[in-house]
Amino acid sequence: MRPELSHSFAVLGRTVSAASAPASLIAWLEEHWHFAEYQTPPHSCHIEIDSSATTRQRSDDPLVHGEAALADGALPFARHGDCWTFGDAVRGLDVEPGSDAARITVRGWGDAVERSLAIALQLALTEALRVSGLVPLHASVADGPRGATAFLGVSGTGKSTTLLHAAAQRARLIAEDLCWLDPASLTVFGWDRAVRVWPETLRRFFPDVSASAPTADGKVLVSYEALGASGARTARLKRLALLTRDEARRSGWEEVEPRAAVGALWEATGVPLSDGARHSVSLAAADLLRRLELGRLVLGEGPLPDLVS
Amino acid sequence: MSASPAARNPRFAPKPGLIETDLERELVLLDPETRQMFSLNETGRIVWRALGDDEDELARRLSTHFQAALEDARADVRRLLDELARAGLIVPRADAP
Repeated sequence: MRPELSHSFAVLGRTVSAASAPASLIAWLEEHWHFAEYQTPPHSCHIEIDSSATTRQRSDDPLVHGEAALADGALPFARHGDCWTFGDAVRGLDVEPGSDAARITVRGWGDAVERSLAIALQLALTEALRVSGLVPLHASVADGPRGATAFLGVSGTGKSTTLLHAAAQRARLIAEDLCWLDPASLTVFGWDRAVRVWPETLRRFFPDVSASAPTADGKVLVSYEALGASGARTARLKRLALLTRDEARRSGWEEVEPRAAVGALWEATGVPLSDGARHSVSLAAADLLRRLELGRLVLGEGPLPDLVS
Repeated sequence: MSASPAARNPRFAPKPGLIETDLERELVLLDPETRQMFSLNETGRIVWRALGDDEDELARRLSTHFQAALEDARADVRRLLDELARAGLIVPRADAP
């Protein structure tokens, strides 16, 4: 019989506990969700992951089918009231997010991590944390003397390259692709383990820094330490920068219309599944746009300006 | 046969699932299905926040807020509701009498 473990850890103050979980699930949670260096006050939210259930959640609510948007596609789900189901009765999961407690039931997690199930669990945990009041941001973030700047843009705009520009300007690196934001304190927490960048971009800025062998998409992984970042990668966010790539314009900072900032922020945080999470993030988004500096960084002709002062 | 009072003075509700970001002087709506965004100015924001009132009530709200003529406010409301309906942002209220 496969050994099953119970494990519990804090994610930005929220307790995540996994009962009767296979070792591979615990290892996955540790790699993607446990950042022990981020010590935050405890929060009442408890996210329970249960791998022992073998039957799907039943509900009398009507069944609604939909798709959760991903960066590289979509993941189908079925919704019964406040319960979302991904996958099927053999391999899948159910998630019931709530502001103080979320329950995630995982089925069929084997010894090897199956990609679609891992993506579903990533979505489920993200949703649970959104409902608890946190905001995820797909952004690169660099910290400077007056606070941190989050660089927003769709895939391919230049978030990672801009981050290396900032590192070359002696900024402190916080995140290359993903961070979590506590909107109450404006504290941002880097949530990736390494910087993922094209080899030629790394050579351009840091020719003496070594990196991993190329991954499947051709990018290489570089440790944050190798790029000068040490300690916990947290900072107080002060500015949202919308990246615009336009070779016909001069590189530099421009003003940005609030509506454009709204669009960029929702693109970066993703559309939540549940009404509760949408409401929570909507309020946070409006508040962030009032409290943060907003700017458009044009990546065009000529050198980039100071990125974090 | 003449139209019912409800048909002459319909009530609307936001399309389910829309995401609102309220910037106080501007209200930005995002339709996650179409990924389209719409921006409402102060007038539109007042009407949006009172959706559920019938057109007469909406016109009175605008007339009072901006100290404008009621007929002008009624025209503004009609025009705005037509635009919102064309954009698929509002639906007839299911509980309208």
